[in-house]
Amino acid sequence: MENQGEEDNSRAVAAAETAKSVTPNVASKAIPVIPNPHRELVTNTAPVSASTEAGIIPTIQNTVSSVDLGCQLDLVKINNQVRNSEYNPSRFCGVVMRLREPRTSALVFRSGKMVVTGARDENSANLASRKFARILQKLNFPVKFINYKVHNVVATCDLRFPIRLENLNQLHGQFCNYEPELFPSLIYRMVKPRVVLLIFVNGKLIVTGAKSKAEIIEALDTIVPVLRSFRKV
Amino acid sequence: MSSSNKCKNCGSSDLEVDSARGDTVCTSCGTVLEDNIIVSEVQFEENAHGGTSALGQFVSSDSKGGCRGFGGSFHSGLSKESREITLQAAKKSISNLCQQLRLNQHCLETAFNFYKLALNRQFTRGRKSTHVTAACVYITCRLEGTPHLLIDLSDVLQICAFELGRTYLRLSNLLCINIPSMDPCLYVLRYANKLEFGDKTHEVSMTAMRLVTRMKKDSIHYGRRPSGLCGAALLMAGRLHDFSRSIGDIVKVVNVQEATLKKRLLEFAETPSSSLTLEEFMNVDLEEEQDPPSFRVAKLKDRDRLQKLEEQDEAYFSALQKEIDKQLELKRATTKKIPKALGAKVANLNLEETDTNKFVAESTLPVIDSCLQESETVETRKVVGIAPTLKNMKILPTVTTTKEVEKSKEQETVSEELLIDDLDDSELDGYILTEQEAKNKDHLWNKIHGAFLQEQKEKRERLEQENEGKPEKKRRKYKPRKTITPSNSAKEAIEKILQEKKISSKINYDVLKSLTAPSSQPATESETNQPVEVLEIEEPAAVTKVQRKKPVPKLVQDGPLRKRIKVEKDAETASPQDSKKEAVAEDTAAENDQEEEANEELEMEMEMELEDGDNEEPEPDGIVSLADMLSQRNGGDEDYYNDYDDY
Repeated sequence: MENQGEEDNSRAVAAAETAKSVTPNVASKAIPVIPNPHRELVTNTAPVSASTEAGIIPTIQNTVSSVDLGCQLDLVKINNQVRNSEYNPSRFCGVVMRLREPRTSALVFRSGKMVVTGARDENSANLASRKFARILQKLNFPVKFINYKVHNVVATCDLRFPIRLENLNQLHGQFCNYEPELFPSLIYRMVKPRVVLLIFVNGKLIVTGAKSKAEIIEALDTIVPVLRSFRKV
Repeated sequence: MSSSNKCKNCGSSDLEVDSARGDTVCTSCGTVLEDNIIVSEVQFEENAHGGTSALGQFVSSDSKGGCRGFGGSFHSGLSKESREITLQAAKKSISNLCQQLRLNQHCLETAFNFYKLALNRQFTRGRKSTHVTAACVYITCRLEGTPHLLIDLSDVLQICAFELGRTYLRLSNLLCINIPSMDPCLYVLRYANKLEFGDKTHEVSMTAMRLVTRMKKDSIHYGRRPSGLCGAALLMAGRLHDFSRSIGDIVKVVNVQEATLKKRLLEFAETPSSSLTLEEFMNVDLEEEQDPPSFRVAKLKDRDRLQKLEEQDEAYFSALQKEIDKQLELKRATTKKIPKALGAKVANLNLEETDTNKFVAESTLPVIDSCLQESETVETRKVVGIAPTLKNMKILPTVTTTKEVEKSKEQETVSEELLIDDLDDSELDGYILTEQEAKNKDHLWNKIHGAFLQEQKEKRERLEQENEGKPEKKRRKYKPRKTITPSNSAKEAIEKILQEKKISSKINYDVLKSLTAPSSQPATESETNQPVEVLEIEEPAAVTKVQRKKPVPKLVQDGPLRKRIKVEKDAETASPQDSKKEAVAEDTAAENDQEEEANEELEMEMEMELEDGDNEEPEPDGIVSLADMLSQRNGGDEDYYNDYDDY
């Protein structure tokens, strides 16, 4: 099995190098090879930024992505033939499938739309979605892979200093919500990048609503100097 | 009623107000601007039985009042505008709420004004009226600093506090009200009154207040409900003043869980202030401020984790240490082998090194010192906090051109096939059940969910039967307001508006597009093309003036006029070309009589008016005003006129 994997690897690399011009040894296999763009996916990390330099590194907790498989699906059949699946039509109209590696779960709907959650980064989200699609393909559904999109990336980080939320709320009122009666953190709605940050007194942050890791880092670059100025001494 | 001091008809300001008749008349044109003016004097009339009654009708201060009597509707006095009814209902519910919360009249008015604002911004749409009114009242409470919590409002109205909170946040966002953070001290007195401390209420509450301020200093209040803080403070204060209030008593009053209250007490116990006696506490203010408890907990956790890591890795590290020592030993051994001749040199080098080191240290230390001082001042300045600006929030206006958007779209179009060359099939095969397993699962699943599926099926069938013959219900669609992005040029802006909102269904927009495209159709008739250009060059002002003067919608013209135009058009079909030839001639002949030119201009103006951009000759250039486009299309649409005549 490993051998085959290596072969696949070399094929993809060759395909990437020659940029679509088919190499002879691949041609001999008589399979039209499309270079797999997913392989060359590199997590687009922003260039070393102020916040990362200061040792504030966000850890991604969850990624939500969706894809259209482009065909109608028979959910009962899927549920009956796939191992880690749940289908309870009285509670939820989609099949829940789970994968062990990367540890993700997918919601599969009758229309062929699929939502994959739980991945720890963008690459594994993509890999997981394709694995799910491949499983469905093995069940003889004419599966495609249309409009793959990451919808939400959630990350946490720790600034390691307490923050005076009330002052922050006062000065940044147009972006902030701070109602200790409703929720203990300050909710900061950043405009650019369009993300929401939950800022806790103990210096811990949750960044959500980002479309990529780069956006999270950009948001941290913007907010960390501000928060540092509201540090409780 | 309107107190404008200008006549609506002629604009003159000579108005005569006759309070006896109750009307306002314009003296220059004679228009009666107002009648039935509201007068301040009270008049009485005597009826047939000798009794007297006041004249006129009652107009309340907030009704739109007298205006409704206009327009001949007989029963108009009885009906009210819909908006007025809404406002009245809101006022009623707000005043009800305010009474229950013991808020004063001023707060009531403020809350009602907020409601009006919300109504104008269509905030009430799709929300429960109780939520909106309660949110208005709560905003007032926060701004006025009254001791009311969200939970009090939700208690009175029997609605979910979080739902109410959401509405309140939305509303305060919408109205751009920056509400100050709540101060837990406000609520101390209120809870103290409920706890029946008798004569000592004031003393106890003062102590509790001091406790709360101390807690605030030690930042226990961040992210905590004020009621919990107040509860803890009151419990302590009560006990300090020899009242036996159990935690249970307090919990009943402040509406928090017992565990929460205990936690607050423990958190306070961890601060140094807790070790003071009552007298000390009342007299001494500790300078030191504590970190928030959650931060301390997190720090402790971190330390624990680090320690564990160290313990785990100790063995590993000690091995590494040994290795390093070994290597160092080896090195030392090799350096010892250096011949003694070099020794002097080395000593010399060492001397130089110490010198340079000294020099470097001397020259850098003052710089570092100054840097340190600077950074200290920066620190103190930073305490104020960075306020948001457009720049540091990175909200600078950026105009994305359509090209960029297209580019990004192009990039998005990746192949739609599923690519699987890096997937491990054997792993995925493991997820697919064998036939027997599938059968078992199917059997089980059907056992559990079969009943539900049957139910669903029956339901669907029943619905289908019921709906047979009935027309489908029409759903009203709410169109979200589209925002028009800023455009680079006027032309682009107009294009966007045209796309957004079709001005008329009678306009053929494709033709319009072809017009604006710069010389995409290089002229269907090469003969007519040139003369038109000449016309343009000679008197663009006149042309545009003529066409602007035209009322844009020609569709409302009466029949006779239109016919006349058509007739005249027929008569003059030959003339335009003549005139154009003349124009060409004029161009070649260098100087002409001014009079002749003027005449021709007039003629042309006439023609332009009559033709009104007859579609025979497309305008060759890209700069076409909107009026031009419209008039051109209208003029050319003869079918339309024919249709219209049939009516």
